[in-house]
Amino acid sequence: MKRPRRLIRLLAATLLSAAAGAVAPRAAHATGGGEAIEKPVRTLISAVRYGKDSLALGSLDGERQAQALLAADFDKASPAQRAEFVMLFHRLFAAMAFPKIRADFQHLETILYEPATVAGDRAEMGSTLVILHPMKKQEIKLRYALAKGDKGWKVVDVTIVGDKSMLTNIRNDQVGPILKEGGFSLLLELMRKRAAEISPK
Amino acid sequence: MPEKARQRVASAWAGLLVRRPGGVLAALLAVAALSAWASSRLTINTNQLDLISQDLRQVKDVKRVVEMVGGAGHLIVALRGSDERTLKAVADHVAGELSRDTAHVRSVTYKVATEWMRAKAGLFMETADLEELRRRVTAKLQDVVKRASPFFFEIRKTEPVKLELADLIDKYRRIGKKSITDDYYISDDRQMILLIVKPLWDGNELAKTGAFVDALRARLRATRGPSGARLIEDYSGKPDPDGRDEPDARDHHPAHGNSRCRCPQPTRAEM
Repeated sequence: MKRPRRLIRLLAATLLSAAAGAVAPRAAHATGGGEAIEKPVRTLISAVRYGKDSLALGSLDGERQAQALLAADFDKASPAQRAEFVMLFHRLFAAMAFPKIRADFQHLETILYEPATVAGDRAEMGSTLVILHPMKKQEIKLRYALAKGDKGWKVVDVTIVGDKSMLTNIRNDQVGPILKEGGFSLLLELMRKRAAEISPK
Repeated sequence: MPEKARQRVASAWAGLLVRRPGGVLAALLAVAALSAWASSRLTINTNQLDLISQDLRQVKDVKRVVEMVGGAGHLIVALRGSDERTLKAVADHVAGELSRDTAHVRSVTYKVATEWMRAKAGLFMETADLEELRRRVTAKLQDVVKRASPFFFEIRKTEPVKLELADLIDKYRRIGKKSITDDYYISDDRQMILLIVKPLWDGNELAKTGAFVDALRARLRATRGPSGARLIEDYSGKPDPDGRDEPDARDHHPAHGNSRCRCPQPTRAEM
């Protein structure tokens, strides 16, 4: 009689573990994600801080950024137009944003990372930059939106807590109105012009 | 009077003239001299309060107020000059001199602290203007914050939002007739300052006021302000000696609804 009881217990334990395993992947959000998610964020911050702009741009997911910025127009654009848009956007972003960020990083004391929240191939992660400005100590809370692609996790968007996300602001203030005014061709034309002004090759 | 009585009086008067012509003439001359002396003692009382029954309670109350604050009359001294700084320095100097004359002057008002009004201007603004002010300030703040963001990104260059408040400031530059942009009672062209001098007596006392105005004229003529500035009495409105074309100072006088107000003619501070 003892052997069947053991067998039943073993079977029940096996069934319970299988059920738990089946439920876990279906959870809407899970915290953690470890170094794989943290890595592009750390790379981005470190690369911008030390002037390695190409490396920093490499940790950004240009394709998904273009999707967010262009919205419905993304599908209308040809692959060549999309590629040019991503190239120009990154060039302009590196020329406009990176120097400002670097200037803030001059007084950077520490960066505190929070655990990432993962939902499928999307993740969110928070960090707090502690900056010691000469006049006062400043804490900037950022949230990074990441996406997993063929080459692993990459940063798509950044939000300063209390403001709209970086891509939302760029889309609302710049990309959206230009697309409405003259479509994709005008957008690319203006981006080329601006790139030539601020970051001549 | 009956006819007989009239004839009797006329006959008696005619008889007296015939009997004592010298005496009648002397008596008439004496009456005329007495009348001349009495009429020379007559005065004009300009104080309307004295012409009303002194038993009225209202009259008594007004007299009490006059005793307390010196009545409603005041003198206005207008100083004109082409240099604002010197004009203000002279106004300070003259006001100081007059304030020290405690035998005649109760107070001299020529500037009031308007900082409080400026700091709390919002309390005096209409709601619609406050909302408009907030809209403009918020737009400016949002623009500043946006441009200060490390992620600020421009494909097409835009100009920073300008905070234009001139129209709202102009609307509330004055509260009543006083500009709140300057403590001094200074005109908009910055070339005239008014000093409101309140004597110790009621303005209706013309004799005292007249004597004080004469003394004031003499004092202002003798005044030497800071940097050697001197005062010249002038109402012409003609260009001043240094060639600047100034408007007629009298045009700048505030409207005098109060009939008790005595305005000595403006004194120009020549710098």
